[in-house]
Amino acid sequence: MTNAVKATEDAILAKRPESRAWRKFRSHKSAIFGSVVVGTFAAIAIAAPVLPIPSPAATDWGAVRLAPSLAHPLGTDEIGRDIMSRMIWGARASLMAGVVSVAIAMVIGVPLGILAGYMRGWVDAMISRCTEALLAIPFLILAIALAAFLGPSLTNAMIAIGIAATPLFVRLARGQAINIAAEDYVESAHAIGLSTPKILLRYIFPNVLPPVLVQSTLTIASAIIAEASLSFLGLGQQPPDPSWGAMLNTAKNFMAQAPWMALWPGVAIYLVVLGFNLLGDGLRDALDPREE
Amino acid sequence: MTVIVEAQDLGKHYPVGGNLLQKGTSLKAVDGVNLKVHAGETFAIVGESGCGKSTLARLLMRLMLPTSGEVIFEGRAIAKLKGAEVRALRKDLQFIFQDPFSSLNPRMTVAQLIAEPLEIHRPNLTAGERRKEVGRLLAEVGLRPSHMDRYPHEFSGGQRQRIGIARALASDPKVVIADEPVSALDVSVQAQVVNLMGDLCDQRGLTLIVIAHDLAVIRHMSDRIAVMYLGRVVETGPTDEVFANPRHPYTRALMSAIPVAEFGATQSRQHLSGEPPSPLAPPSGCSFRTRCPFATEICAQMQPVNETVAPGTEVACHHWRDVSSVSLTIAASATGRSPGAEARFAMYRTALANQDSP
Repeated sequence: MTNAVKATEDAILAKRPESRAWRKFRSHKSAIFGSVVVGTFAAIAIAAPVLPIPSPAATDWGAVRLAPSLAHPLGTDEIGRDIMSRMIWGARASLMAGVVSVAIAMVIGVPLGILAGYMRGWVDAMISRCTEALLAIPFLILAIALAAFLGPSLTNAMIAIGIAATPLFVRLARGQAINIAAEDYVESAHAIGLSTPKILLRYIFPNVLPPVLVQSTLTIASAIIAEASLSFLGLGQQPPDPSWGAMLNTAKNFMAQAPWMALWPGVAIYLVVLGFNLLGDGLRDALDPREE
Repeated sequence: MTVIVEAQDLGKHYPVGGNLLQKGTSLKAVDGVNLKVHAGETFAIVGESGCGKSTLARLLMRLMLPTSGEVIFEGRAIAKLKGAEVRALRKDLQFIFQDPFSSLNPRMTVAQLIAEPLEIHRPNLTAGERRKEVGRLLAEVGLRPSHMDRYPHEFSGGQRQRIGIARALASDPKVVIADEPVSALDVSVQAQVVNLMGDLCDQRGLTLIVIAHDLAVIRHMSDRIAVMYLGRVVETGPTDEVFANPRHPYTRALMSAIPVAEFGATQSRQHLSGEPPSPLAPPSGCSFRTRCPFATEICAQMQPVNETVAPGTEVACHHWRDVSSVSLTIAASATGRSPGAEARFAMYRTALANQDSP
C-alpha cells in the first residue's frame, strides 16, 4: 500500500459518517415539492395573526356570497366573512388536526404493535383483541363517540381522531414486526447477545417504520376530513373559528350559487394531502439505504 | 484434548397438531444427539437437507432451548445460564449465518454492524477505539477498512459473508458455529471464504463447528465429522477415517456420491432409493432402514446404539461389520485431481505466493 492510499484510508477512518438520508432526501424532487407545499401552508398558518387580513369572524351583510374580487381575493361566504382570511386561519385547525391526531395514533399504535408482533404470546393476544374490538367500530363513529365523550373542542377532536386511528397503526406495525422478527438479522442480534430493548430499537423499529410513514401520510388526509366531519357535527372546531372541513361542510349548501366557497377549502385539502403523500414517499426512500 | 462443547442426549421436539382434548404427535427435529467437540479442532456436522443440522446448530448456540438433554459449554449447562452469564456465553460462542443477504441488518452500516458486538462485550472502548478495531477486523477478513461506512447491500455475497465473519469474531470468541457458511455463495467465492475461515481458526486458535452438506468443503476444512440422518447422528469420527473407511451405510452412500474429477475413473456408486422419511412419522427402530440395502428384521425392532468401532470413531448401525466388509471405491487422492492437474495447480499456487510477497 502506498503512502497516499494509506493517508486517505486514515482520513476516512477518522471521519464521522455524514447523514446519507438527508443527502438522498434533498435529491428527491417530488419530496422537495411536497415539503415546500406542506411548509408553505404551515408557514401561512403560523403567520396568520400577523398577516394584514380581516378578522375571520367579521361578518358583513352587505357582502354575502361575493365572487372573488380585489376586496375579497377569494370571495366571501354566506354571512359575508372574507374567505381568504378564513382559509388562512382554518389552515391552523386543519393542519393541527391532521398532524397531531396522526402523531397521537403513531405514538400509541407503533410501540404497541411492535411489542405485540415481537413478543407474541399473551401480550400479542391482549393487544390484538383490544385492537380488533376498536376496529370493529367504524372509524368515524368511533371518533364521534370519543369526541362526544371528551366534550366539544378542537383538542378533544384531535385526541378522538388519534385514538380512532390507532388500531390501524397497531395492526400495521404488528404485521411488519412479525415479519422482521423472523429475519436472520434479528437472530444474528440474539447471537451477539444484544438486549431486547436494543433489538427492538435498532432492528425492529427502523425496519417497521417505512410502511408506517407512508400510512401516516395517508391517514393525515383522512384525519383532516374527519376533523371536518366532527366540526360539522359541532364536535370539532367551534364556530365562529374556521377550519377547512367546517368551511366545506357549509359550502356544500351553496354549490350552485357560490362554488368558490367549496373550491378553496377543497383545493387546499387536496394540496396538503398531496404534499404529505409526496413527503412520505420521499422520507421512505431516504430512510431506506438499499435504494440509491 | 479438552472437550469445549458437548451435547448430551440432545433433543428438540416440536408439538404438531393436537388440540385441547387430544395430544398431537411431535416432530423430532433433533433426537438423542451426543457430541463432543474438542478445543481447537474444526468439527463438521454433515447431512442432507432437513436432517436437523441447522436446528442442532441453534441448540448448541442457545438460540433455541432443547426439549430434552443438555448442551455443556466449558463444563456448564448453557440452558441454565441467566442474565450476565448468557452475555458471557455470547462473547465466547459466536455464529456465522448461512445467508449473507438476509443476516445483516440492511439499515446499519458495516461499521455499526461490527461495532455492535464490541459495544456489548467490550464496553470500555471509546467510539474512536471501536472504529479502529472495526477497521482492524475488516482487514483481518480481507476487506478494506475504508469501506466501513457502506451498507451491506453495496457488497457482493462473498464480501457480505466476510462482514458476517468479522461480526462473529469481534467479541473474540472461543467457539464459532457456522451454519452452511458458504452454501449461499458462488462456487468461485466458496473456496476463498473456506480458506479464510481455516486461516482465522489457525491464527486465533478457534474451535469451529461447521454445518454443511457439501462434502468437499467438509473434507477440506474439518478435523472430525459427525454424519446426521433424520435428527440423529449415525457416525462420528476423524474426517480422514470416515472418508477413507465409512462404516454406516448412509455415510457410504454419501461418500460414494462424491464425483471424481479424473478421466476415465469408474466408481461403484451406491444409490439411495426414495426420499428420506418424514420426521413426523419416522420408521420404527433404525430411521435409515427404509432406504438401507443392509436392513434386516432387527433394524425395524431396535434403534441401534452408538458403538465405538475404532479409536474415536462411533457408528450407530446393527450391521456395521457386514457393511464394512463390502468394498467401496472412493475418490483416491485427497483432492480428487489427476497428477497432471495437481502439478498445474501447484504452479498456480507458487505464482500466487510470489505475487503476494512484495
